[in-house]
Order: sequence, then structure tokens, then C-alpha cells
Amino acid sequence: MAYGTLISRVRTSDADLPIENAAVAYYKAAPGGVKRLVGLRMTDRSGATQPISLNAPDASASLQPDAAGDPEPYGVVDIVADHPDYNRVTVRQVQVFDGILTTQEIFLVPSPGIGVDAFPDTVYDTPDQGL
Amino acid sequence: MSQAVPYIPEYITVHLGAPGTDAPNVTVPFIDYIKNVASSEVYPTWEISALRANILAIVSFALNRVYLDYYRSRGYDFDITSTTAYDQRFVNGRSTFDTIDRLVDDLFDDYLRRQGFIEPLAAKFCNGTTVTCDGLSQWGSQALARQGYDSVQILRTYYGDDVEIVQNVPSRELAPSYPGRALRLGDVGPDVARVQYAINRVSQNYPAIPQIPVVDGIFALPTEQAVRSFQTVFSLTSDGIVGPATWYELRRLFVAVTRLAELQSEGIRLDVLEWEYPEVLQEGDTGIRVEQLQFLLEVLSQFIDQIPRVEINGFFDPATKRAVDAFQQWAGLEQTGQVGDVTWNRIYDEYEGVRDVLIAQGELPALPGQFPGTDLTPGSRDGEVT
Repeated sequence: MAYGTLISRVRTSDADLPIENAAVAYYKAAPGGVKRLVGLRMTDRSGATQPISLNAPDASASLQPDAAGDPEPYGVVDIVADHPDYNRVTVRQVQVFDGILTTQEIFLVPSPGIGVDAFPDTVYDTPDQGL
Repeated sequence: MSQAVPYIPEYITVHLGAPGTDAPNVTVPFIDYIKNVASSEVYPTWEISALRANILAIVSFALNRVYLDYYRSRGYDFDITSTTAYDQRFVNGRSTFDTIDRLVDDLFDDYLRRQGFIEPLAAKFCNGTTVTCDGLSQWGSQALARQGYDSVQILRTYYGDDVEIVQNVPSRELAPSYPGRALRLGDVGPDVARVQYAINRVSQNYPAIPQIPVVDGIFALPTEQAVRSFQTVFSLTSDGIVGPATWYELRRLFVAVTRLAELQSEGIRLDVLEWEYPEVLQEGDTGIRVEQLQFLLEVLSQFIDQIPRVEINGFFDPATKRAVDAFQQWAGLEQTGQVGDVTWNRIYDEYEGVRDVLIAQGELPALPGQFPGTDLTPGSRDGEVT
């Protein structure tokens, strides 16, 4: 099995202010419809995580059109970014290609003032390329 | 048509659905838009010449929409949609890939046009297998690249021999615009000083980027090291050279942090009145309460990309109503375009959260008696100690 690499950058505002000490969890689908935690990173003072390596199909699978019913030529992982001062964000089906560095930018919105109901998680989905 | 000569917009507003649908808009830096679309349209493992051809088509298509005011001239408040039925695929919040990112850094200010024409080519494309069209075949471009075609040969195969590439298109934004050539070790002049000043400002938020000791307009080793660090932090090619991608990213961040500082001043000016809910505010209203509302929305627009920018002018104009609508949509409130107590209080609650973050980030002074965000230890100074 080949593998690709993924880093996350967690920031806030148009000014890209970095969010330090955000927890970034990586989950993969497991049998039975459950999610399996495959990695956990904390962001550094630049809001970036250390890279995580993840399994991916061999690059050759993505170099020519696939036949109907073939699996997608990339691995996928769900990412959850969490920090106590911000609303949580989930990005689903993030793609990982063999030999490629994927960068996931995650912008968090500050949590509202005290006494306000928690904001529901913001969820982003990543559809396939339509190829 | 807004401008006779095509330009690279700093930002582009994308409608996240078909035209006429009640979908939100997001405004994103143009270069990030191109990275997003390219990562959403093709695979990053493809041959470089295929990726280059596809990226040039994507840039051209987007610039064509902007240049012709395609949607705005039809009464919409966006530049392009996210749907392939109308435009090209944009996936809000998605990841991007290093091979594509590096190429976009190099190509985002280039576009295709036909010889003798000014406007960017409305470069159609499709996957070439399940969907065919009168334009570039994505899989076909990959096949041609594997046969040794370069990007220009690929593009001319699909768009005709009269297609040419226009390079280094200027940005429309106000000065300082890109100086026209890359800045590097040994260069001297005011453009170098601008880079040094901007990097030092950005490094206040990013301690991993070293401060340049002297802003002297001389591109010496400390400046090169700071540029490399900046490029690493922002996923640019870490070569220590300030080309267009680095210049625009640096300027975008500098403008954004400067805007936050300006808003701080606006907030102090508007603090003369209480922030409690005043009365229903709606289109046509004027006065300082509207200014307060616009201030709150403008601050939130810096943090929530679905909320458009608002001018703080005291007039509840259509732009203010659009921002209220967008906030209500984002917050899950009824979209009335009016600001009653529920909307006002929710806007203010969100602003409080933002204000606390800005204080923790050092972008705002701590409120009286509030924890300053950092532990005070022997040697602490400035505003941390009173």
C-alpha cells in the first residue's frame, strides 16, 4: 500500500491569525459504520500540525480513467478541529493521494459570548472530482 | 464592464449553488479560489503539463466571468458559481495538493486569450469520458501529456492554434502593486522596505517568522530568512524570493491585520453609546445605531466568510441588508433583513466571542481587570503589566 501525507493549518479571520493548541483528530471509516481514530495532532504557534502519513492507493490508479465500479484512486479521512474558544469544524472525505502532500486549511469562528447556546459543528464535505 | 484591460482580482465572490438559489456566497482570495478549483477538478498526480493546461483554463474561465461582469451585470451579488452546470467546481472548505498549489503560485496571474482579443478565454472543459464538450478534455489532456505534449500544445489541441498565454497580469488593487519583477537577495529599494515592514507586522502573529532587525530597504540575509519562513508558514515555495504569489499573500495579510486595527479605532469611537438592543433597524434607517450595527457586521465579516464586507457609513443601505441577511442565514435565524432584538443580540454575542479572541491574540488591549491572555512572569512588560 502506498501512502500520502496530510497537514492541517488552523486559523481564524481574514488575517489568518494562527490558532495554537487546537486539537486536530483524524478518523477513517471502519467496519460497522463506525469511525476509527487514526491520528491526533496539536497545532503549533503557527496553527499548523505535524504531518500525518495515511494509506492511499498507488498513484497509477489515478493516471487513467477508471472503469465503472472501481474504487476512487485516493484514500479518504475525516478531520475534526477543536479548540475551546472556537466553534468546532469537521471536514469529511479529505483526499489523500500517493506521494502527494495534502494541505487542509481550517478556519474556525470564535465561540459566542458566555450564555449563548453552543453553535452546531460546521461540516464541510469533499466530493469526488467528477473524473 | 468595469475595466478595459483584464486584471487579477484580489478576491472573488462565489455563490455556493446555482444562480437564483438561496445559497450563501463566500469571498475568497483569487489564488486560493484557483487552488481549490484545480484540486476539485483534476488529480494532483497527473503530468505537470496536463496540470498546467488545466490550471490555465481554470484561471481564464474565472477571469472571463470577472472581466465581463457576467453575473453582476445580471443583478447578482457574486462573480461566479460553484457548480459545474454553470461554471467550474469549487468546494468550500476543501483541501488542496502541493503539486497543484506550487503550479498555481506560478500561473494564477496568467490567462488564455485568442490572438487579437483582449478578454480572457471562456475556456470550457469537461472530463472527456462521461461528459464531452466543445473544449478541453481533462482526461484527454492527461493522455496528451503522457505522449509528451507541453501545456501550450495541449491547450491549442482543444482551443485552437490562435490561443495565446498572457503572463504577469497586474492586480487591480491599490498600491503597492507587485513591482513587476521578483525581489531577491541583493536587491535594494522601497519595494524591499515594504516587504520588510509587512513581514515584521505579520511576524507579530507568527513568532516562527523572524523579525527583520532593520527596515532599511536592503534585501540581505535576514530578509531572505524571514521571507523563507513566511513562505514555509503559508505553504508557498520556500525559495526566499518575493515573486507575485509571495507578494500578494504578504500584502493580503498585511491589509487584513491593518483592517482589524482600524476596526479597533472604529469600535472605540462607537463606544460612546451603550451596545444594548436599541429598536428595530431596517433598510432606510440612519444614525449611530446603524453605524454600530455596521461595525459589528464588519468585524464579523473578517471571521465569517459568508458575511460580506460592510461600509460603516450610518446608512442602512442594500449592502447592510445583504450582510444582515447573510448573518441570519449563517446563524440559522429567520432571514428578514431587519434587525430586531433576537438578531441584534445574536450579532453582539458573536462579536463578544471575536473580541475575546482578538484580546487573546494581542490584537486588542485587554479589558480592565481581564486576564491578558499570557502568564505574567518576571520580565513581562508593555501592556501586560499595569
